[in-house]
Amino acid sequence: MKTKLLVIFMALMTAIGASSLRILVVTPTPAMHCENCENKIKSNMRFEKGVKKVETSLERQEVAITYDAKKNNVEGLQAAMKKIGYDTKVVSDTELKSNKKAKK
Amino acid sequence: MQSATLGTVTVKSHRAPGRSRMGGVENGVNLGQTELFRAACCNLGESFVNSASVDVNYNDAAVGARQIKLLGLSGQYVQMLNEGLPSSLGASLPYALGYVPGAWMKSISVSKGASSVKNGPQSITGQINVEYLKPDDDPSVQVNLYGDSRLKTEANAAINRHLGKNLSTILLAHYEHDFGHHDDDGDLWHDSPAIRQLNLQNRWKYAKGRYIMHAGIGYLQEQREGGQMLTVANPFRVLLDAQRGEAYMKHAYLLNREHNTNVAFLANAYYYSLDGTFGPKVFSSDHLSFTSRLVLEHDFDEDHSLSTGLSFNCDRLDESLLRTTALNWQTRDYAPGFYAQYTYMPSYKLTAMAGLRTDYSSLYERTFITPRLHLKWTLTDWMTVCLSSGKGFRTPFCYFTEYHYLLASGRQLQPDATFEEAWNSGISMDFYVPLGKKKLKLNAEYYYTDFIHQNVVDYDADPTRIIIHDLTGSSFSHTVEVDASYDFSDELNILSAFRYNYVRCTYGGQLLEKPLTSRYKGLVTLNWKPMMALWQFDVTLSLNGGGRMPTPYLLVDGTPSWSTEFPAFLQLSAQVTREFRHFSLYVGGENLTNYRQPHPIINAANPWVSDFEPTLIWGPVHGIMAYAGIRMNLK
Repeated sequence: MKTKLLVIFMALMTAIGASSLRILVVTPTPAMHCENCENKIKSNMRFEKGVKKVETSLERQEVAITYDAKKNNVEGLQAAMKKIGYDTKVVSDTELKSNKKAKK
Repeated sequence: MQSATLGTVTVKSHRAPGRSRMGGVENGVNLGQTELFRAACCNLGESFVNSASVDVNYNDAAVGARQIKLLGLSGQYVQMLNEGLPSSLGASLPYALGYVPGAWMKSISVSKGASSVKNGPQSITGQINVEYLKPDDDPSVQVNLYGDSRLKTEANAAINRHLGKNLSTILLAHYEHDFGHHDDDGDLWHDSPAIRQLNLQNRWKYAKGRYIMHAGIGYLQEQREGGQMLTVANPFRVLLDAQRGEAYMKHAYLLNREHNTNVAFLANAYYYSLDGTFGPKVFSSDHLSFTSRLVLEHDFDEDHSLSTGLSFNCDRLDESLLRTTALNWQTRDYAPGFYAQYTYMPSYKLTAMAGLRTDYSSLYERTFITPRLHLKWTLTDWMTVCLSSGKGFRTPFCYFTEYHYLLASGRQLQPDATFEEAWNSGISMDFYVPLGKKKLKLNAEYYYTDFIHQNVVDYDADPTRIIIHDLTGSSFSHTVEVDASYDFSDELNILSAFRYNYVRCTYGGQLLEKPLTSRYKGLVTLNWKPMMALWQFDVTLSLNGGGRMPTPYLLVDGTPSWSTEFPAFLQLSAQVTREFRHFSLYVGGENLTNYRQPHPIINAANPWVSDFEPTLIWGPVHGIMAYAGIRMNLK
């Protein structure tokens, strides 16, 4: 009985602790040229469902979108980028290690 | 994005949409929409709530006149421009800040001290240039609706369309209606006049190859209704009816890309008529103004560039005043001018700009020479110094027009305006100090303005008259300002500033402190934008220093007509904004400390006598005000 309870407890803890936050990094086309391009992406993508944070890098030509995988997915975010005029190529889509970092 | 504005210095790129230091050699700031949307910002006059540099006078209780103060001096010494063209002159001067709706503005540039000579000799304490929403911005329909607890309502619309590859247009519309007739202090006077305003503009842009054209037309109609409440027997009413029609065009052609050689022609014309009733006095002013400039610019190489041009301004003004008898004046001024401005930029660290212009005024039959010099030196990555020195001239071409709002006073208005001439010199230093993960932005500046000729509004000489006369003696202003801004995180910015004004003028042979001018101003603003800026919280606390009142006189009962000084007072405003994809909602409050100037109208119960005085305003005449609005952006 004790073992069963422990297993259930561990399973619960794992479920609670499991992060649904992910970081999608994409390369946009056309390229971002200036701060206005960055602002256009940031100011539009923040309204997408589940999006928690949007970061851009002109130097690396990358957009990093932290999102809640329960509310959105890669295809949805790529479609949103397309809507504002950017085709995207996925660089990575990884689970966020610490939820705290993304809660901004 | 890169953009260029005809007739002004080539504009910036890579700039954030909020507050930023001005590019180029002049000292000043750019306020973008992010900054402007931090407060209700119904019009240009309300855009400086978060600014330490620019003061805006409190509404005059009788006519609602509201003017900017820069470097502790009146608004007429600031050159007001709309996209590089003159925007307010003559009778429109006291109301012009209300003629630029906040929802139409894309950005405001405030430069302090002597400005470039390109735009004319009028800038003495600085220059404020407003950029409107552009025809070639991404096509959109922007709508803004606003209402406040004083029953002022407002609607704005900006609709732009691209008509083909080269042509674009924008329609700007504004309507405001003040339903309120408030009397917070119970003196049976409207605290400020009820305003109804219709304002329309249609602006166009055409760009093909090396040619760019901007052109547009505008129309404005405004009524102001104030004075004593209608419940009073034989009320003293103040009624103003204004109309303005305007048209402008700017053409530029790039002759040589390599040397950035371009030629531009700019012209605007406007007609402004004002009919006013101030109790027993009836005043009217009809002003026709035409401004034109032909500009040639050329970069000899990377280090040396020249801008030169010709200008011609024409003003025709008819004024009439009916008191016991009817008086009429006709003024005509034709002013040709020439300027040359040389810029030397041996490296990105050093820029020197020297300008000289000469203008002739047919009214004053006099030639005015305007020299100006600017130097900007970036000593290190964290320190920049700007120096400026130059002369400025104003040639008022009116008898009563610029001072007509003083007709509400029971005193006799005795204007004898002449041209105004002053030197302005200043130094500003910018520091970017690494502090934690961010940089602390520090700015310290000092400006000195010294008048040679000035129209002195003298309340002190005679208690029965307001005399406007040329300066006899000295008149000057020293201002020192320090401000610090720090981003505590990507979401939180705090700005604090303090300015000290030392403004003196000679009245009746005595050098006295300029009346109704605060000795200092302190300001703290907090801007917090959590959750990817979906929410925005703004709080502004300002401390306005006390100052001198015009010399009081003794009433029949032996008591002074008013205090010799006015006190310091605190003001607080706050706003919360929530952004949605296609619209944003904002609610806020102004004057949350509920401070009001006690008895803003002297002898309010008896306005038909000479000791009635509604024009001595130094503080807010309204108490707490709450407002709410919505900004919609429909693509």
